[in-house]
Amino acid sequence: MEILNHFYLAFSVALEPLNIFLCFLGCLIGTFVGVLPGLGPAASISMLLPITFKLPPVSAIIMLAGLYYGTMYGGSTTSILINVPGEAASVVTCLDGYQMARRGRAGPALGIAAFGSFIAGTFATLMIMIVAPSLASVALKFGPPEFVGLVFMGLTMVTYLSSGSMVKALMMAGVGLLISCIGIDIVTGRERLTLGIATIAGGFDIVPIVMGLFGISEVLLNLERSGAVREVFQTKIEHLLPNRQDWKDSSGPILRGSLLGFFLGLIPGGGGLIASFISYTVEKRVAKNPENFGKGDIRAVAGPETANNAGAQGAFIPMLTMGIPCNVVIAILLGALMIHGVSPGPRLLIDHPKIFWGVVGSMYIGNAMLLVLNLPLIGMWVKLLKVPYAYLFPLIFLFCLIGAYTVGNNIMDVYIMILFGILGYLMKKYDYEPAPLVLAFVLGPMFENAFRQSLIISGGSLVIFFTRPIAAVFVIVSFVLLASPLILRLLGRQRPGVGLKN
Amino acid sequence: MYFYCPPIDIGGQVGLELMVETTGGFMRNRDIVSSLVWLGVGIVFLIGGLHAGLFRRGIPGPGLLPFIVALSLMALSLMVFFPALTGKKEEASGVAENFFPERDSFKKIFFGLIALFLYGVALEYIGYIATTFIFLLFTSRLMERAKWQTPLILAISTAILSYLLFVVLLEVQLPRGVLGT
Repeated sequence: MEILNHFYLAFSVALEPLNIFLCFLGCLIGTFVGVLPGLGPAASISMLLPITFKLPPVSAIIMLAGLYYGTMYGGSTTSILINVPGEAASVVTCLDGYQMARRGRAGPALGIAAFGSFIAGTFATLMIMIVAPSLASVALKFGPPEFVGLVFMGLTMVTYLSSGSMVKALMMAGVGLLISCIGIDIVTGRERLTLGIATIAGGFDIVPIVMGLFGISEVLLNLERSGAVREVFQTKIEHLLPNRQDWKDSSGPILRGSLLGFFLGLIPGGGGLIASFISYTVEKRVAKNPENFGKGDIRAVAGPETANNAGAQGAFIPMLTMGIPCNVVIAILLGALMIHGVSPGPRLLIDHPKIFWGVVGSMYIGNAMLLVLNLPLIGMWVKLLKVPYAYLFPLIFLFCLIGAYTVGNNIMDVYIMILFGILGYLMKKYDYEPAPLVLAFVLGPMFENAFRQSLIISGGSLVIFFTRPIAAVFVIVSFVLLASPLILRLLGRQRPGVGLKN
Repeated sequence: MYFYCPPIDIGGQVGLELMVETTGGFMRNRDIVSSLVWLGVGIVFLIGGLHAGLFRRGIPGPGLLPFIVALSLMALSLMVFFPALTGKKEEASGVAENFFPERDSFKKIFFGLIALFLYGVALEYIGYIATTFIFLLFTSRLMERAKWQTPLILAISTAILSYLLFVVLLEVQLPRGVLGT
């Protein structure tokens, strides 16, 4: 029984005292970040990344991963209680979760969100154990042309599923690739595209970029509005344990949400928001009485909350098995692995089985911890919502500043972060999304390397991407996705991502 | 019970109920401006790519990928530029009419950014604790012209606690400055 061996390995690493503690810490901070509107997982993971430098790689990833899926739990709390999503993936939960709270059913809403998340998280972790090894062995057979095709398809997918203009998303992916090219060329060792500026000769680091684009810019956007005064819904939170009828109603949505979320999580750009959005649509379609949706239906909380957790967990698979990040948070985790000297990709399972299985094992433990953190301690998190933003944002600024400085003990990283903060702010104003930029930036060096190797193999001909069957499939799928907005427009339809705008 | 809550970003949109649909000329101007900026960025990298060398003895050189990507970026910018110019706006965008939503928005952003830059400058001269204290005292009054007590307590306690956390507990290297902290 191979899977039993895997379980043994997973828990033997995850149950080491240091790892249990860090997993708990990650989940705790994650819930905190999830509850606080205006601070997302991407910025907070990059803030904490520098302090994990001294930890063993597996412990660092365990903590940061815990933080990531912890935010998925925490995000639902604010959606339900104050109709403000704590982070992006919980937007859909606002629709019915808040209505449930207004009808005095905040308890069951919070309860089903937490239990659903737990079930989805555990299910998706189990799926990782089953799927990842075989996927990694397939990916091991990939040569440079296949890798180029895969990354190309991944980036196209992200732009295709982005919520705004696909052309603009593609532009941002291009900008990300260009930024990743700045600095020393790995093949020839020559400096390029630096405009003679010595500071950037070594290239950019991911931490200041992500903190600028997702942390600083976010604060700037919040800063310019005095902000609406919102009402915390005055209600006693009781009956956190959903009753028999709630469970009966929710079992279907939870099951579908887990499956849907998991598979969407595997697609670049597919997890989180999209997963929860599609789950909501599906539940509404299969419901016998869809008119209850939007009026506080527990199914509309159970499904999306489950889907975003399964998606968050599923997103680890492409990263751990192929080195492809599906979202910005995973991209930072990938960066974290590389900083720790571990190269993510198909060889990770063979070269560092302890890291892979340790992280997977910690997910079981983390999900259980989060259930405890979220249900009995809900009152504590609600109190946290009362911290005024006027005092909160200076602290976010401060943590970003320290985080950026400590990446390389270099003050220049602080200035780079601020510049990317301004860039992110302007991008938001001009309707450009930062996520494709970050993903392309992270994938850039690997992509370029594989691209150049492919051209060396083929003697400079691009035809190699079409003559190798697997690469050809990836490239053709990408071109179909690129052309599809045009095709869909001819048919009078819209891309799935566009629907999220309304 | 009331409390303050910032509008938060949810991936390109501004909150379910805060969505403002505008299809007016302002957004179009934005697309014109932004696409021209990205076109310029594309040109810079195109030249940079050519400079670094596209091919060397038949083997792809350091400039090849930047060159191709820059070329694509330029093409894509034009795909944003021309529809904006001719007034064919495909997708309505959820951005408010004015660049700054409120009258004193610019002031807050400007001082916020100044504070960030000055933090970087001051950190190496007067050290972590002093810089952090001044920074927090200033920024926590940026949004609300409130009394001095709360910002003062916040600034002192955070400066000291975070110093203990980062420097003493986590042994993070932070500049010491002239004050030795």
